[in-house]
Amino acid sequence: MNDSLMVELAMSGIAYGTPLLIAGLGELLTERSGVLNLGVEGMMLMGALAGFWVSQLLGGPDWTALLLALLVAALAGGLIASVHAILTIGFRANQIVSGLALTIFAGATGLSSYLAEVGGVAGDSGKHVLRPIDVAGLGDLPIVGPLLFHQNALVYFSWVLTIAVSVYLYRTRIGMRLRAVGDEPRAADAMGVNVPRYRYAHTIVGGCFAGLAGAAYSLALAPSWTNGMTAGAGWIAIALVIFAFWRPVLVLAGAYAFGVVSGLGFNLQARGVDLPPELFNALPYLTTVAVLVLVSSTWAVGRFGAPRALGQPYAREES
Amino acid sequence: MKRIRPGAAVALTALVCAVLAACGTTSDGDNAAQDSANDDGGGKLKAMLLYVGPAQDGGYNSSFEATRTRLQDKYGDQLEFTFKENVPETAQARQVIDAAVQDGYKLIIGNGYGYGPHTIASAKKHPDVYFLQSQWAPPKNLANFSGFDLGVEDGFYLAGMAAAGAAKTGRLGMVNAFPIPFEMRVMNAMVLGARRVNADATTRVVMTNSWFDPPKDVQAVNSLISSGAEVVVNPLNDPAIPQTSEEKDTYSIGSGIEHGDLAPTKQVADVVYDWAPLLEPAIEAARDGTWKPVFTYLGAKDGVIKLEPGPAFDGLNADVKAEIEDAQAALSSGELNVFTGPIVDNRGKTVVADGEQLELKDLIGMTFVLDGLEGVKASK
Repeated sequence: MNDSLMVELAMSGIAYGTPLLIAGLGELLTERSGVLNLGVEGMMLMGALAGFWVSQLLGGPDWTALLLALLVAALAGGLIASVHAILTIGFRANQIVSGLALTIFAGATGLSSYLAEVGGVAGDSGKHVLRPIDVAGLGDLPIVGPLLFHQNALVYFSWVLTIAVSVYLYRTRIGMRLRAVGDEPRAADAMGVNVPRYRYAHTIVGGCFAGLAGAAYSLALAPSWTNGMTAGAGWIAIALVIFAFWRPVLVLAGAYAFGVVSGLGFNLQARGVDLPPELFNALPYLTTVAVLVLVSSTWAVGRFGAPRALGQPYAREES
Repeated sequence: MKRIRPGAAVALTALVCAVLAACGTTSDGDNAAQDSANDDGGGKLKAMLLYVGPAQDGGYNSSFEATRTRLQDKYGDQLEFTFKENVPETAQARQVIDAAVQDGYKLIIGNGYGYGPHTIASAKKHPDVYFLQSQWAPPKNLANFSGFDLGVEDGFYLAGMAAAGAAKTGRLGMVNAFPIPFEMRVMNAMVLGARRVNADATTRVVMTNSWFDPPKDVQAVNSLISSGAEVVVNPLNDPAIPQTSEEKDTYSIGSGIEHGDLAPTKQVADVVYDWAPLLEPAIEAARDGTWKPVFTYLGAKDGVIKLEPGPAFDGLNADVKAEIEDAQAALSSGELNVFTGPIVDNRGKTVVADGEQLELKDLIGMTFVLDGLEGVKASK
């Protein structure tokens, strides 16, 4: 039963949805503070590379090497994000231009591929790999076993992260202030909230999440390094935040839906449905267009809009 | 109403960029082996290999690297044999070649099909430099250009035999990239080999539409295994394929170099390449100026390709092992030709008549699909 098409699709949905989920949650936090960061793809690649590189250098037991690798991956993403933060918050540069520059600078033909050559890690196979952990021996249960109790640590962590971000946004004072900063920075400022500090912190934390998401590729999905291995996942994560109306639980649902779509093509091919592979490769992007049309309906926009100050630099008016 | 605008614009930008990112993920490295390139006197030949991806790609390029370092050792001071990796198959390749010629290189070898137009153009531009190009025949009136192709069917015929020997039910899987003629030879030969051992064997192919994409390759392997494949064969270079097979307790067969280290209990065998029979004569001809524009098709009888048993090979049935050995010997001696008639394709059309063999032009332009090969459509 655990080999059935539905279980296999759900498994690949979770596996390939996990980096989208983590990166999406990070971008959500950043955007909730009013900063748009289009550099997710670049930050993910830097995280993927940094994580893989560190894991290759380290000996010792898997868990220490992997923990350190994930930490470095998150730091690498945060470091790249801090460039965006300084440019757009400190110097009030255009957020779209800065974000795009970030992806080009760090992306598949930029810094990440250069550093990979310096490190000579291309083509190596992973020494330490994030393997599925069986929780309380429940992994063999039919259907729910492999889905809920036989995943790698990053998947479990992403579930915790979703709940944590949800609680943070809606149940804590800082989260409430964060939403105020993203919606009405002027009012938040008047309330005594330090707007730039909130924006710096959440942009950098968003970058850390993206770096971690990249490491999901290089340490779990395909333990290796390839130039541009995230293949556009960073962009899907950005679109995902919009589809999810900036709500963490919907990011989770959307991420898994995209994960399923990305594995659908191969599973249908393997089961004898002969459709052109080009079509399957286009599926995630076609889905993006379809969902975009749906969420653009007036009803949806009226109910759940973007943070109102998204994309606008904030400058305190001097009186 | 106004509020959607930034969101929609961002999403659209994101979408466009996603498509762009998915399309172009090559890079140009510049990692030729260090050379000071200050003297090129006294019969010393400078030769360079161009690689599309990294030099150590775990398969095709790695097999060239093994031959390159061996020949470098053999010729010593007489040869300076280097490589450039991550050279894109675009006009940028011409710039790389121009720079190499400036550095005194006299032999340029393009090991990717896509270099063809660029090595031909460069051969015209630099008539005193020799070019050896994968899968392109020399054009008329171009004396300094030769082409080669690999008789890959010899190796994958044996791989098919080994796969069918390892699979109890005869359900075999293959991860492949594109149904180009070279890969059609891989897949059809695998089917012929598999059916020699088990007449009911079927091979299900999943096409990834990419030569190297680990996340996709892993998905492809998983979907094959979950649909019942007992052996996953691949002509790609991705280490993730044997690793995933090992994790899922499924047999694996790869190519280029040996992959037993990646699947220490499940690697049945590897189709391995040795390029010395191609490169050594080319180096000799370039050194003494006896170069002839030819197209060479090299197979098992030339010693470039064979099946190398992996850690799981011993577990095969003794009869199957003996039969594989016989077939390997017959291919090496030239006694056995993989595509010998009668061969009928999956539409019932005779593609090779009884007792006949496929001609070179039909081999390098193969489009037919044999019975037992699933998931691939004939292109015409």
